[in-house]
Amino acid sequence: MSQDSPSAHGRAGAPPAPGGAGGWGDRGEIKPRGGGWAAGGSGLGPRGWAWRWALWLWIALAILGAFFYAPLAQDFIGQSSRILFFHVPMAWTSLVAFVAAGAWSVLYLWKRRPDDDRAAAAAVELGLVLALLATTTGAMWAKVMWHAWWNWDPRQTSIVIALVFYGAYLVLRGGIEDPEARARLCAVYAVIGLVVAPYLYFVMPWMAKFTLHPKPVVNPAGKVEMNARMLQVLLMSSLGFTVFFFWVHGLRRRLLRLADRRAVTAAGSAAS
Amino acid sequence: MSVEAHSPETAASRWLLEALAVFAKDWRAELRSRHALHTLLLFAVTTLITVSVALGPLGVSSSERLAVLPALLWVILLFAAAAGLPRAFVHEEETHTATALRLAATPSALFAGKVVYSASLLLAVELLLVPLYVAVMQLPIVSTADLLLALLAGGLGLAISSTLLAAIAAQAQGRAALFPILAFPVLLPLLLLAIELTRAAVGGTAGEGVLVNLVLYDATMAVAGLMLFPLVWNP
Amino acid sequence: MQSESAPPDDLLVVRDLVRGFGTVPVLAGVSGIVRGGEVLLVTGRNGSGKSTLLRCLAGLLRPQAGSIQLREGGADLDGAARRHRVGYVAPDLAFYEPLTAAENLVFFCRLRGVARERAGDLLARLGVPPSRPAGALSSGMRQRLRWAWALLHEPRLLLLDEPFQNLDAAGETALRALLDEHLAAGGMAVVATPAALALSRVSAKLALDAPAALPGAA
Repeated sequence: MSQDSPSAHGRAGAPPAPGGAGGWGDRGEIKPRGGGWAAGGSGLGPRGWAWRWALWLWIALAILGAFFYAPLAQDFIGQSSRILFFHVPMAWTSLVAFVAAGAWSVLYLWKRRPDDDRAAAAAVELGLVLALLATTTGAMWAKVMWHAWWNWDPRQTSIVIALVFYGAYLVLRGGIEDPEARARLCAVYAVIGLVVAPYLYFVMPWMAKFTLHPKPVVNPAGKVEMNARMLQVLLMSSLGFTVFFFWVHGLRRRLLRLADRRAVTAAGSAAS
Repeated sequence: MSVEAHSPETAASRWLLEALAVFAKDWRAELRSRHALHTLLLFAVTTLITVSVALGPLGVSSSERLAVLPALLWVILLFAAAAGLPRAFVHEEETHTATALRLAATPSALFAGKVVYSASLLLAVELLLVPLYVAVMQLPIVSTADLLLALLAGGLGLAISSTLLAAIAAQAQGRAALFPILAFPVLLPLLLLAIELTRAAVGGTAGEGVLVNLVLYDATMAVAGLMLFPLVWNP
Repeated sequence: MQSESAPPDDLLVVRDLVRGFGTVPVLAGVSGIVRGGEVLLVTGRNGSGKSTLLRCLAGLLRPQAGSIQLREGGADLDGAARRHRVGYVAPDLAFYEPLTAAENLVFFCRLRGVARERAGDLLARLGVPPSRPAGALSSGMRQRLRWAWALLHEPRLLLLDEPFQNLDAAGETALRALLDEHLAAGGMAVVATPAALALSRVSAKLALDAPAALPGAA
């Protein structure tokens, strides 16, 4: 709550001015062109066409590399190892998205800027899509290698809990109407996610050693590092996915901002 | 707090008195209505009967007992907690007593008082349910100490996490229905650790680290709750 | 006003307060000022934002823009301190129904660090039966209990939303006397009412019925 000096104040009874500054429907936030993440104009800027084409080229090269440059991993059935060049980057990027959502949530609770809340929400949405894709590709690979779509490998467990948690985050978002309360409560929930994450990522895989069911197959992550060309493609793909995420995230964030502004403008014109 | 130093008491003792006042108020109101206690207990007993009948007169075969029974016990406790514990805050919001509380209580002290109240409620239910469960399911107790530790640390963790998440759910639409959706992913690590420790108590094997991790979870959530609750509670 | 050499000890200044719900703008730039011993009377029809304004002042709602400054004894309070210092009476204020009126107030005495005798004194003065459960009180008695609750910690600023609703003549007289005492002792008050209300010491009136702030008003 901002406190400032009583330097300029009027007596009571000033007529309310429609469309006050700041807040959830701030009309001054949107910059259609120019610098910054949300701009769309000149060629070499951070949002320019050159940069976008470079990303497409990079991803195309990663796809080609995955199928024609990288060798097949040993002890893998058929061509199944190639899915790792997409599966691992997607899982990695979903992790980046969820951590970023947590960071933006902390930032929101600190600064209370509506834009940080939108950024967190956009990151969770994209992270969920990526985690779903990673889960699906993982299950496809598991069907080939382990002859079962699903077998509660610790990593599968972790990603399913992440899906449930961030799904709950979106349900919570839908359940609160007041933007201020929604942003605040969702931000706290995302921070709780950060607090619990170490238990999901470290403690539960560690606990799997103690379960009565032995793990049927060793974790595939260890095998990826064996070949230099495979590693090159994997890193290339991971970087491509990460940059791709931040690009789409910027678009999504702008869209949410525009939707908020349009809703406020509509309500304002209905009022007058 | 700096402005309202009415008494010579230190800030810490005032904080404790506030937490204690919340705890005493909740129990006093609870003992008049017995609503939460009855909900929790009946839920636990109903689930126990369901589980017991479903397993049949012979129960679980001895080879599967270790794997199945500790998990079922914690599922019953989780369900009972989900039915009864959200009330701590949902009731305050529904009956509009939250406003008066917001204007008078120190948030972290309120959180502490609610946690202790929820934990005591849950431990009371455990005290009644677990002997019944052990008897009905013919569960052989190898280490009573491990069982008590699992019930204590697990119950405390359930109370801490549930209190924080109930405070969030209470401010959204569909309060009580939203709670399990929010809570289950957060409670899952706790439940797995508590089940593991309970397994050790009935003759299974569990590493030394399980209890440490369980206590660590409780401590982490307690610290996170004390820090995050004021942000949940106040606009 | 800008060049006051000695700022007053008690002061409430509201500047350009903006608050909406979802996409509906409710308060769109409200300003006002109250000094010790003064009343700010907030008028407006239902839905004009009177309660929202009072909830913002009490720290129960976060404004989207604008500032609230509460000064007590020469020191400015931050948001959290303000929340605990104001005395708030509103229709949405409720108490624990299974507990008696006295138990309710004693609980809040313990939270506020106030001697519990204060609860008994206020209940006796307002004629609230102390040993009756709060859930069994009539609506007039509930309103008296709200007042007793709001005055427990001797606040300097009273925020009164429809303060005399549901009261009989005796009750209104008693509460008006309490308000006058509060103001005579240099306290401040913001009173919100949909109907005309005759009050002494009203220093300013704030009409929230400006058409721009009312969605759907043709």
